[in-house]
Amino acid sequence: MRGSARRWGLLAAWLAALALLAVWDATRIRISTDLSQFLPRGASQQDNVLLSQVRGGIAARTLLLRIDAAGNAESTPKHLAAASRALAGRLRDSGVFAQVANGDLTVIVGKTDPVLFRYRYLIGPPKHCADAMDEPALRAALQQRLEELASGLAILDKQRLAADPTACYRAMLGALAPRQAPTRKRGVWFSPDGRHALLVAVTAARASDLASQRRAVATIEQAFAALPGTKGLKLELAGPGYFAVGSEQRIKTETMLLSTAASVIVILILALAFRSVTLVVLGLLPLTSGVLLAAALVSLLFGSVLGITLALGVTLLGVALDYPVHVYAHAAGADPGRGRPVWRTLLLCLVTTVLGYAAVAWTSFEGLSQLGILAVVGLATAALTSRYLLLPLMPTGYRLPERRWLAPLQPRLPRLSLRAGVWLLLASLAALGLTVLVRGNPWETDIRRLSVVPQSELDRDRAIRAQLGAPDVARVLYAVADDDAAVLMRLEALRPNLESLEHQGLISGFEGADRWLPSPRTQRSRQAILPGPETLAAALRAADAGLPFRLERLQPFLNDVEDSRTLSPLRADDLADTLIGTPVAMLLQPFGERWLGLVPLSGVAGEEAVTALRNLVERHRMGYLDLREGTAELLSGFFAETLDKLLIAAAVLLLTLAVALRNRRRLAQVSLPITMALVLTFLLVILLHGAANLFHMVSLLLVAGLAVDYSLFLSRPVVGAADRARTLFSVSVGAGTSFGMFAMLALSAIPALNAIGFTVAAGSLFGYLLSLLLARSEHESLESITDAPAPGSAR
Amino acid sequence: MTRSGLENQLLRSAPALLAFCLWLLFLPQPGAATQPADVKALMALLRRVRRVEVSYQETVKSGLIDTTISTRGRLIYEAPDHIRRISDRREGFVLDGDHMRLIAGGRVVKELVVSDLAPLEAMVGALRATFSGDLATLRGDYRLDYRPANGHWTLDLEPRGSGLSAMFRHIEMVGDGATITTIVMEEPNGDRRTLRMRLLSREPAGLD
Repeated sequence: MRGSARRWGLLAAWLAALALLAVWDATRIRISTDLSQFLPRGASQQDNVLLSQVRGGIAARTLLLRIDAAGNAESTPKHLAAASRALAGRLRDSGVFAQVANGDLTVIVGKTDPVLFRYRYLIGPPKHCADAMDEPALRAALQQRLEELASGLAILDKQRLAADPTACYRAMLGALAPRQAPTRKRGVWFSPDGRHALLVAVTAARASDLASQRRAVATIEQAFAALPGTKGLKLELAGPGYFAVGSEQRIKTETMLLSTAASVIVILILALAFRSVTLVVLGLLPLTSGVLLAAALVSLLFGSVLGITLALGVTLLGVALDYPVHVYAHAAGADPGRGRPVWRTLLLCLVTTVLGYAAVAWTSFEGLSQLGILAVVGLATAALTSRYLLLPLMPTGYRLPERRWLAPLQPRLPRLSLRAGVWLLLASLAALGLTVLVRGNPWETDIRRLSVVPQSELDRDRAIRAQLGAPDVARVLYAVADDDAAVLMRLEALRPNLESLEHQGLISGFEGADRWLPSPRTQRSRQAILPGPETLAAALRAADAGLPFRLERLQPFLNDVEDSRTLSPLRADDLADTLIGTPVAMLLQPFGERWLGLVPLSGVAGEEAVTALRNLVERHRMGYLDLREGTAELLSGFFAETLDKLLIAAAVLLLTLAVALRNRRRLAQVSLPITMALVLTFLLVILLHGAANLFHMVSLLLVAGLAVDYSLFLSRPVVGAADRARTLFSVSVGAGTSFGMFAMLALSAIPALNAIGFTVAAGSLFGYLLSLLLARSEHESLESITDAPAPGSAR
Repeated sequence: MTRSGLENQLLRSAPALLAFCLWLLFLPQPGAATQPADVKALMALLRRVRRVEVSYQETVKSGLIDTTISTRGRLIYEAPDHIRRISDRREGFVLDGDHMRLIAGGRVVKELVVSDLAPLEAMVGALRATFSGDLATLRGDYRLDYRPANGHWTLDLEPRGSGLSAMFRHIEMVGDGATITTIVMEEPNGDRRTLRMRLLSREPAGLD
């Protein structure tokens, strides 16, 4: 009675602690969906530039929008253009986007930007601005304005004529236009066939911030749905952000479905094995405790938990499901004093696996680091709670159900000698070596292979890009300097060389912030040539000779030029609210303590062009970056580091086993199945999937953990046939649950889930079978004389 | 015929003459009779014009200049949206739908998309909608006041939106039947542009 009360008290305390942890986790943990944090922090400046572009680059933040008439004959270009204008207006007002472009110039031409107008003589094209202040230039400008007055074209900027008779501001606006513009109809961008209106929206948030990308996509869809007169029109979206959001949804749905199915399988296996609802429910508590505590700790250490870490971490903790199984199987019916050897094995399993996972935590990859810590803390918690909380909570007098078939089965199971095991391992290694030799690089470095985007959407993305004539921004030149001024000076120095490459046809175009914002040095040089008030007034008088302009009406022009002579040069920080704020901010941005200038290149024509560009960047102390190659290199670096960590983990694992087992034969007996399971699983992954990706690699860690569990338990000296049967039973139940759960995930079409499911299912099967063949204990300890009844023997 | 004989004859025919004079008096005036009764009728009439060619003289008065600028040339309209206006100095524009080519020295010097440039669209839009008899567009952008009168009609356009009213205070068109003879555009700052046109040819013929 007293024991029962204590059990209930313990259970209540445990549940209360879990509830508190759950509340803390739910309210305090910030789950980050920034996938790029899983990438390394970046060792070189080039890596950092690459990462800044992967996370926040223009291409990655660009959403492509297409309004389709959807076969509706009544939807004329006029309707499509009106919808494009209305949608662009709403999106601009939403504040979610840094830029919304639909080719509509009325936004730019409609009103005068006060900052740009004030600085026109410092930043505008010199021909129409700073260089147009002498008598011949002014006369030509006045004659031009007179003709415009006569023809009616003056109406375009007549309100600015008195202050800007050289039309400097107009020329500056002309320079704002994109260098490669799509087809236009009715003032907005259209596909060449005129059937679709096209828009481009650049999100303010980082590309890898999935929550913000989701908000951006929702904003677009809601804005379009709320537009009046869009009946019969269809909105289509494409671009990396949209795909990421779609993938996230697909992953969520499929993960939920498959996880539920996997959980059902696990619960069924446990229920069949133990035939006790109480044990099944209690069995879930150690894993739950591990996940909740580990997530809280990672959150405290890192400030937030990466969503992907949490998902992969819970996967790694799958091994913790075996702990309650071992505790149940060995505790039920056994003499309480005999729990000890099982606990020792369990502890060894835990220490070995934890040390292996800990090697992963020690890395520059924040994602991997979080993953390692999460797995270590989770496993330790699950093991300790299984031992110290679960055991006392087991119902008194619980006996494992009888399984008569198990006892006679045991002796019939085949067993391989260590020599045969070594030969098998050598054969597996040879097969792996041969496969790598034939197939080449076994690592998947093309990040697009992990894409879950359906082909139809990828085709649409390609189609819209082609219709927009969107330049390929995979290649970028960059300059890093102490301030924006220094970056701009380098870009200005580079410009003539790039124009020359463009002229030679080696590149088809380039873009740079200096096109809109000249360096302070250039601005000062333009300032220096602006004439003084008397000189300018005299030049204007002379220029107007014989022309009908009333000079007193042009006084604002004289005032503005005088004002320009004393202005401080315009800097990047002053542009936030101006027409050129966004394009400049995209290409000129703070970079830690320094500044980064980007020059996206389009149409880079082969190796000759790349060589020319590389020579150019060396001369100008700049950098050249191929975003695709760079990402592949970064991923290769990731694999190299992960592989190093795996090798360290393997060494730590072996060392721990060697220290713990202190028996070369048993060390070989235990480590052979683990090594072979890893080699064979890796071989199978390469043979069936072509190459191993990030998810395969992390899953191999779990395979190692599971194999350690199986081989250690099966190889431990037993205290009789009953103990042997219990061991076989618990390991079989553990392997069954792991295999069932991960085989279910392997059915997924999502690359990440499929990779995890396939690797762990295959690995757990290899680990189990090889442990049975190679690690199974041949010896009984002396304690077997007083053996307890086995689960398979009749009592 | 003696004097009294003539007087007698006149006196005898006096009632008939009076009746003839009265008939003449009440006979609808030839000019007034051809003016459309309302703006709908005017637009319906203008819509029937497939092609028209006029010679024009345009004068511009602006506060920025001392004198009046005057240009002459030819203007051709072809339904539904082609307008070609070239001055004697071979300057002007060719408009096809939304696409405008600017001509200087007889050569195309620039191409524009009219709807890109709100002021240009406003100016061209009023002209094009009137030539093509597009009443819906005109009513969308302007309040219309149509007054048929003796020998001519007047159509006043007052901008509805702030965008247009920032460019035009008022546009006045004067015409006779299917012929537009004068367009006056007055800007908020008092600048004024007057386009006077003389019909050279029109298709289909006989619209008057």
